[in-house]
Parts: sequence; structure tokens; C-alpha cells
Amino acid sequence: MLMDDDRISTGQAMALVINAILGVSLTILPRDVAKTAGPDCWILVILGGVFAFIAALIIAAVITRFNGKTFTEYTSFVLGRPAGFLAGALYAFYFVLVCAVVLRNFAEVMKNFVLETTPREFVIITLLLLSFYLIRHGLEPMVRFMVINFPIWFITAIVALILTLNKVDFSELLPSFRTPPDKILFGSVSAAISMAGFEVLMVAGQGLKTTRHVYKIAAVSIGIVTAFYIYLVVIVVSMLGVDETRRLLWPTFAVLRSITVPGGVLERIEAPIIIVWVIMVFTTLSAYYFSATITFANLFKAKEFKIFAPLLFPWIYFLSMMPQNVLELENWLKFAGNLAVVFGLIIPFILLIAGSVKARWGKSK
Amino acid sequence: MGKIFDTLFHRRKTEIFYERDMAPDRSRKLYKDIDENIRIFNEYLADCDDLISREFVVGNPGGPKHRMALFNIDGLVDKRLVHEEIMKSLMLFARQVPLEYSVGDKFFQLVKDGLLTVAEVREIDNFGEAVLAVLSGDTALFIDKLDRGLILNTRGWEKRSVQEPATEAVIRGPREGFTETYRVNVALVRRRIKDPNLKVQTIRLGRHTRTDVGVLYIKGIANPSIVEEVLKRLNSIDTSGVLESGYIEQMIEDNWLSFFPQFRRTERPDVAAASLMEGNVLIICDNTPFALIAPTTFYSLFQSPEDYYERWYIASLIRILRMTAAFLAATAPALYVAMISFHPGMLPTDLALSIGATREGVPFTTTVEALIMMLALEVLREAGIRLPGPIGQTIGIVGGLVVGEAAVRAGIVSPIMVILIAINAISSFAIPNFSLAVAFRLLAFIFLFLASVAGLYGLILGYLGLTIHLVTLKSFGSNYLSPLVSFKMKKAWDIFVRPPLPSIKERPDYTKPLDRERMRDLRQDQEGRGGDENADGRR
Repeated sequence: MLMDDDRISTGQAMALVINAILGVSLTILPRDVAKTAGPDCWILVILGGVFAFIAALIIAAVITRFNGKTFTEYTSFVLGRPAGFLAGALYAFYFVLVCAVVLRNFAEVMKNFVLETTPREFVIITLLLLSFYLIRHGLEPMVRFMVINFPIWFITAIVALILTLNKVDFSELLPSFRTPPDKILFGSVSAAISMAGFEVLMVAGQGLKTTRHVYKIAAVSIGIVTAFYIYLVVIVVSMLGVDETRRLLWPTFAVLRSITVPGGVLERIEAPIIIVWVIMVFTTLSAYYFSATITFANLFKAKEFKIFAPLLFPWIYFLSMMPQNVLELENWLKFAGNLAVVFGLIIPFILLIAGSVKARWGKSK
Repeated sequence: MGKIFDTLFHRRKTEIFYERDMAPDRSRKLYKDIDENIRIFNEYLADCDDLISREFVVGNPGGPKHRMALFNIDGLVDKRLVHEEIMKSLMLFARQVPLEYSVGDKFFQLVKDGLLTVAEVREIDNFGEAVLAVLSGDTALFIDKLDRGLILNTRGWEKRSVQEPATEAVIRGPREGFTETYRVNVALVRRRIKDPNLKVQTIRLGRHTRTDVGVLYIKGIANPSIVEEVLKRLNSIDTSGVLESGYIEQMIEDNWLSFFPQFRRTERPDVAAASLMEGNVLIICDNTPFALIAPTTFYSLFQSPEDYYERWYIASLIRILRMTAAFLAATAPALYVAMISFHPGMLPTDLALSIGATREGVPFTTTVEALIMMLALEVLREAGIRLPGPIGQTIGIVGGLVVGEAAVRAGIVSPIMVILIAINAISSFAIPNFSLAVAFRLLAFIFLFLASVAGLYGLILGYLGLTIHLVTLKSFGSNYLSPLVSFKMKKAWDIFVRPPLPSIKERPDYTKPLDRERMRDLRQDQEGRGGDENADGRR
């Protein structure tokens, strides 16, 4: 369980959510949306943002309703003991799965772009160990870490994308509004999935200093992420073209390959920028790793959540080594994305409805 | 009987020197019989040849005679003061004391209040305090038929005068530095802050050294919880001796596993005064010119006193320069190794070719090459410190120029590596705080190792680990990375730029000051005044 002083402010919670969202999904998002909607891909991102915002609002409503209670406490309260326990366990396994997928995807990118000869196991274990080192300090230090690193990767990401501007051809985004609405609606769900990450607040919400501003957290963090994604998708697609974006495995990093730094100090900067991206992956991983740990600790009503971190360590590692190749990893990613809809939208929605029904029922009685 | 007394006495003797709270043993009271007092006092300081004891007789020739005894330590007292103001007063002027005053308690009162022309006189009734005072440079005076003694402040020994600090030189700013004498150091701070709220609490540390350690803070600004914490930690020190503030620093710091100094140390009273006004607590230790400032943040270690004396553009630029230097001091060789061995594609083709050409014939890998050069440089630096000035320069020339040049000619290292290591070393000297510079040099080796294992990925792992460590590090309850950890942009600004003085209206957050406001709004004030003048004119 969290200690009393281990609480985060509203701004810190925003940083936590943004850091949890931005990570691996930004590497494949341009491909996903370009595949579905072609030049209209940016519409998908906007709609996806709207969907993600609705989901975040539902989660925020749940957190506000069960102010200060742990996840297990309020699910048990709403759904009953066994169902609550089951929900908690499912969430914990979901978080572990996300950790594994994030790590594996990260390892594949590293193998492809930065460290061709280094084994994946090394990359995965080192990052996981560091994440373990971070989360054992608790929620507040973890978020403090995220706040400190926030400007570094944010500025790097913006600068990297600005450097691409001279190669951008916005006519690639034309013609607009040619995609049929059903396709747009369907595609925007998959765009919304890439904004998964708000659900960490369902378990980390117990560490909030005040739940008064949860809606603000939802609005600001989803807003920032959506803006960032629109920017990213527009730049990537208009630089590579729709067809090229569809075909590439990691279009975001393919863009970086063609960047040159003015002044000729460095010839290729994809390696340093991917290295900065490691920070983003690391924060995503830590947010989910922490969420998994704290959920398990709540489930077993443990006084000290730290002991669960080393217990989860081998599971995350083995799960991340399960996919045989990149294609299989893609399926895992899709699976995790579908789970995100369940855990980020459907279950919170059930909790909200059941909670309010129960409250009304309790009042009338 | 004598044997029993001796063993008892011996036990007492060990007791005063090993007492837990370093306070003198007050249990052994003075006797009325002066012979007994002299005997016991001499036993306390038996075999101490630097003890000066003097017995003499004082009094009106017609009245009763008073035997007196005087003790002090040779070399610790101001001889002139003892001769002129104590001995002379007692031996000559005491003769003129009227008869009715020269009996018993009355005489004692007169000696204390009217005869001794010494500024500080204190009355004691036990041996423990007397011994400690004499060992600190005071003079003890015993009078016959009285179970009390007088402690006269006659401290005065050979000491270094106030000189320019050697480690914190500035172009603009006062040239005064702390010295080895506690009282002088406190006075140097007091001269800058003439405020009764500047409090000085002195405690004695070290079973044997009994070093004076002062805790200074400004009441009303400094957070009492921090002051309390400092005092609590200081009082928990139980050690044989405290010879330098470094002893204290290492015993009361929050995390002794960390590379990073958790105190800011300064030799400059102006820095000390400035930090006191920011709400810090200052620890001044006797026998050392280095004072400690707590709590400390990472960024305050990058500051030099000049930053606030110089115009803000210049100060800001220099501050950014120092940050860059720190970055280079930690990562320059590692970055090079990572690029050469793992990511050669990053370098522009021409540069890659020229590096390749210079590396031709070098038998070692880049990592080994860098390691050799870095170690050589550390050895040179260490040798240069130990040697006297002129020879030290020779070492610099021989080591740096001759050996470096020869190594390149012999094809052991590449010239680019020599340039790089030189940049690395010079950068580390640009960090104002020596302890921090050493920490960064240590980090350079760790980063080099990480880069040689996993290239840039190793570097970012090192960076992440370092940041996690710094984020969780605390100095007396304040975040080490403050003010970056909060969302207050205005405060975070002060890290990279030094804002114009009129805009620094608040004290920093990390000290949790009771009184936040540093200055009144200057412009508002002026506007107000302008308004008044207009009103006058209309009238």
C-alpha cells in the first residue's frame, strides 16, 4: 500500500498519464491510421482522441465517485468480493502483459536501429531492472522522475520533427474527406487504443492528493497527447507518403533516418533520438509495472507493495520473450490493444453504472 | 585507602573524557581548601608540560592575605592579557582594597566584579568545567577558602589572518575568507548580518578534540524543523575527534552511498551570509575554513558567489556554460567511444574518415585508449596537487605536453583522444564545487564502461539510473533536484539563468523558509512614490 505522504498533485498526475500513454504506440500509430484512412489519417487521430477522452472521463468519474479507495476496495464494494477480486487480478495481469509487450517492442526497435548485435535479452533485462529500481521508491518519486525527464524527450521530439519540415510535402494529405464514415469510425477506435494509458490512474488514483481535478487531468493529458499524435502523424505521412507509411514497420523512426542536422555536426541522428525515446518507453514501462505491483499489493492487502515488484519481474520477462518474431508481436500488440478497450472503457463503465445504481438503491432503501 | 581513591579517581578521569554528550563532568565540586584544589587540578593535567600554574598571595598589607592559584596553557593564552590585566590587577591594585572588603565572600565578589579587567569572567564550582576551559585557552583562578573558581577569557593564540580563499576565487566580490578560528569565522558572518535574529548555537563534538561546532541560522527565515534536524544529527555524533568539517559532513549526510555531496561547503563568508538569508542552516567548525551549508540542492552546487554580483546576462551565460561543462565532464569520452564503436554512422563521412586515419596504427580499442588517457590524467592531477607550486607546473608541462605528444607520435593513442580527454578534464575544472567535480569525474568512468558495453543505450541506462538516484536523494528533507521536481516554472528558471535581481522576489522553496518574501515589489513602490509627488504638485 502507499504511504500517507506518497501522494501526487494534479500536475504530477498529468505527467504520469502522459508518460504512461506516450511510449511504444507512437512508433506504429502512423502506419495504423494510414492503412485505414490514407490521407484522412489525421481525422482518425482527432476522433481517436475524442474516444480516448470519453473513456478517460468515465475513469475520472469512477475515481471521483470512489474517492480515496483502492481499486480492489471499490471493485469489491460495487461488484461483490469474488468479482472484485477477479477484476483486480485481471487488471494486474493486463498491466503485466502491457509491460511485456512494451518491452519486447522496444527491444525489437533497438535491435533494428541502434544495437544490431546486442541480444534482446540484455536490452529487456537492463531496462526492466532499472524500472524495478525506480518503482521500489514509490509513486511520488516515480512521478517526480517523469516530471524531470518530461522536458528532455518532449523538446527532443519536437526538435526532431521540426528538422523534418524541409522535406515535408503536405499535398500527401490530400484529397481529404474521401474515406467512408464506417471506416473512419472503425479506424478511430484503433487510434484511440494507442492512447491507452489513462487506466493506470484507476489504480494510481488512490495516490492522488485530491480527486477534485481528475476531469482536468483527463482533459489536459489526453489533449496534449492528441495534439502530439496529430503533429506526428501529419509529419510522418506527409514526409513518407501514404503508401510508404503503410508499408514500413516503424514509420516514425524511418522518418528520422532521413533527417540531417544543419551544420553537419552529425550525419545521422536516428540513434540519439531513439535513445531519447528510450526515456519515453521507460516511463511507460514504469507506470505499468508500478500499476501491476500496486494492484497485486491491494489484492493481497499487503502492507508493503515493494515485495511484489521482484515477484512480477520474471513474469514480465518471460512474457516479453514469448513472441517468436515481429509479426507475432504485432498480434500481441493488437491483443493488448483490444484488452485496453475492455479495461480502459468497458469495465470502468460497468463500475460507474453499477456504482451509481448501487448508490441510488442504497439511498432509496 | 589511597589505592581505592586512585581507582575511583581514575574512573572519574576517564568519565570526563568519554562522556556521551561531550559536556564537562560537573559532578566533582571544588573544595574550600586551595591546596586540595591545586592538587586535584594538577592531577587532572598531570604530565601536561604545557600547563602553567602560578600560586601567589594577594591582599591589603594590613588585612588578611588571600592565597590564589592561576592555571592556563602555554601558547593558548594571550600573555599580555594575563600579565597586565590579571596578575597586575590582583597583585598591585588588590593592596589598596579597604579592609572591610578583604574578607571571604566580599573579597571574592570584589575580585570578580571590580578587580579583574578582563571582558569575560565566569564563575564555576566544579573541576570538569575548569579543566575544559583551561584547555580551550581560558585562565582558571582559584582563591583560598572559596569553593568557587573564576574562568577568565584569555584566549589568544597564533592564528592565520583573514586571507583570500584559495578554492573559491572570484573576480568580483569580497576577498575575505574563513580562517581556522571558530570565533573569527562566526564574527565574519555576523559582520555581514547585523540582525539579532542571526542565532549561533555552539556545541562541542569529539571525545578528545572537543571541537567547537556552531550552528547558525536566521530565526524567522530558517525552517525550525531543519534547524532541529541539523542539531539532532550533530548531537548524535559520538566520535573520537572532529578535525575538519568533512568529518561532520560525512557523518550526518542523508545518503553515504551517493557520489554527490549533500552539503555545500564554502570558504566565503559572503556565500555563507547569502545562504543564511535563503533560509539555510550554516555549520561552522573550529579549526577549518570550510563551513557547511544545509540543505543543499544539486543546482546550488553549480553556483558561484559571483553569479549574483555580476550582471544577469553574463551570470546566466556562465551558468549555462557550467552545465554544459558538467555534461561534458561526465560523458565526453563515453560519447566518443559509443559513437566510434557502436554508431559510426552518426558521424559525418569526412569526420569519420579523418578519425579513422588518425586511429590507424593505434593498437588498442577505443575504450582501452580512453581508459589509459583518463587514468594518466588523474595521476597527473593528483601528482600536481601534492607537489609544491613550481614543480607542479613542471609536472603539468612534462605530463601534458611532452608525454601526450610523445604518446601520439609513438602511435599509442590517437590525437583526437588526447583532445577529447583534455576537454573532459578542463570541463570538470569548470564546475565550481570541487566535490561535485570529483563526482562527475567518477561518473565519467562509469559512463565509459556503460558506453563500451552497449553504446548509446548504455549511456541512456546510466543517465536513467543517475536520474533515479538524484530524484530520490534528499538533503535534510529537501529534494536534491529541487526546484526542477515541481511544476513551478518561475522557480525552475533559476537553474539555467540567473534572473535579474529585482525579479527574485521570493526565497527558494527547498529550504521551506518561514518568510518567503525576499524583497518588496520595487516597481510598485516607485509607482506609489510617483503618485504621491503628483499629488503634492497639484496641491
